Amino acid sequence: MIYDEYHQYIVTANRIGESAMQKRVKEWVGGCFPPVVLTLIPIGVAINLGIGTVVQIIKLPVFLDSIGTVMVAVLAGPLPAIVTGIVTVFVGGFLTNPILPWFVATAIAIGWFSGFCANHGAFKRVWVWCLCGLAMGVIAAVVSSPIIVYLFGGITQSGSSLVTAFLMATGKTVLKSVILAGIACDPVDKLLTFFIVWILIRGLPINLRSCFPRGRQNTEIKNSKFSEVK
Amino acid sequence: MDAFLKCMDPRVKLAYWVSLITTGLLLPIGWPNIIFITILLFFVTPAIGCFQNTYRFVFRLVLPTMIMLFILYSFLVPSTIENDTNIVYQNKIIYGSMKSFEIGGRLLIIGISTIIFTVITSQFQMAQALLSMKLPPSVVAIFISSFGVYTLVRRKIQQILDAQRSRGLSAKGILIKRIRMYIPILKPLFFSLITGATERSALWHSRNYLSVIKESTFSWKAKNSILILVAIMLPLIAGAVRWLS
Repeated sequence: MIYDEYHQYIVTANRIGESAMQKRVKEWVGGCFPPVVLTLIPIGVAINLGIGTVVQIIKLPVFLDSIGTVMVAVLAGPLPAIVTGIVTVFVGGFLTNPILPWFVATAIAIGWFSGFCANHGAFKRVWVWCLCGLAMGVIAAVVSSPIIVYLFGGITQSGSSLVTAFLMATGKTVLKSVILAGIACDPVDKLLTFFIVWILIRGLPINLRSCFPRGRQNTEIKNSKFSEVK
Repeated sequence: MDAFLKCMDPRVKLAYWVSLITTGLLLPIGWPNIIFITILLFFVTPAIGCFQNTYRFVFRLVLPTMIMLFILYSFLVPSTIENDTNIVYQNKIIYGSMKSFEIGGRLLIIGISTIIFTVITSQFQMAQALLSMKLPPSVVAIFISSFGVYTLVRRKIQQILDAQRSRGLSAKGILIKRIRMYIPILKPLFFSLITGATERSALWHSRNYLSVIKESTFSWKAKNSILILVAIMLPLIAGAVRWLS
């Protein structure tokens, strides 16, 4: 039933044209998301929080707390990814860390940028998502730096604090040190996130990817040997 | 007090959450701030029954951050660099202590206010508050179901981690061993959740789930207006204290 609904959606989009399709999308967003996106977003939230907790238990030197957001961005677009990020920080604030809601700006930036990259075909070519992952790391570092300076004085309990402390000892200001430390450490984390999402999405069968609004378009290469999209 | 707080209108609780954080951040550093934090930490949190959560938050996040900041500002940062104020402290130890208390106080205020709010507010009360603030029912539905799905995911992850431990892998050791423990969690978890999403959406669609959460059951009472006025007065008083000092 769901596959037919979205196949019909794509056929209708091609028939009625882009402006009418934008109106249809506005109706969906203004009223509600389609049901499959409404169920995908909590899964993205749970993956963000669950995988982030596991990484802390196993004491890996990365965060990997945006896998769910990027996954929702690839399968459903930037707006559901932004909603996933916002709900993640507030639910995480309720359940795990009360400071998390203050990082809502970072969550919005990650959701928007990963959705933007996914909609422009980043997950169809390896080198493109590599570049996008690195860029997202830089954006996340820049957006979260003022929050870290205000809330934590520049020092969190992650490994990048050592880099921050070293830079501050050399005479740099707190904000500059945090930004530079973030730019040095965050891109690796976000690149790994993109890599994990790419591996997982490629492992999904095509009929399951088609159930989501952007699942097929964002991951399938046109005119390839295995592509049905012409 | 516990029962009174839990029965309060969730919109009023939300207003008090914002008000407590704003009050704490507006109060000047010194005796007003210390008194405010002491009241919250040693009187309000035990009365509500969230002292254990607060204790964990203080000892796992606030104290380590304060210690690291003290070491950084007292011993590592050059004394000629002062970018936050124009005052250059002669004694770096005093400056390091003040900086660590300032940041620690900020973290305590934000953390304790949020913990108090989360303990006295259930997720359904929060959803009612969001509905009454005219948010779309779909967003509220996402918010409520996130809690349930997170519990499910934690249970699945725990099962996989226990299975890994029974095979001899542990969370201690070199990095590669820890990564080997992490990788098998991803694939089964991810695929089962995505498949579950399509099935759950068909279920919601057939039950017209969103029709259930259309209206808020909370009505506005006179006492709520008085409580909101008190919530607005607190940051104004804090602002006045800061201005006068």
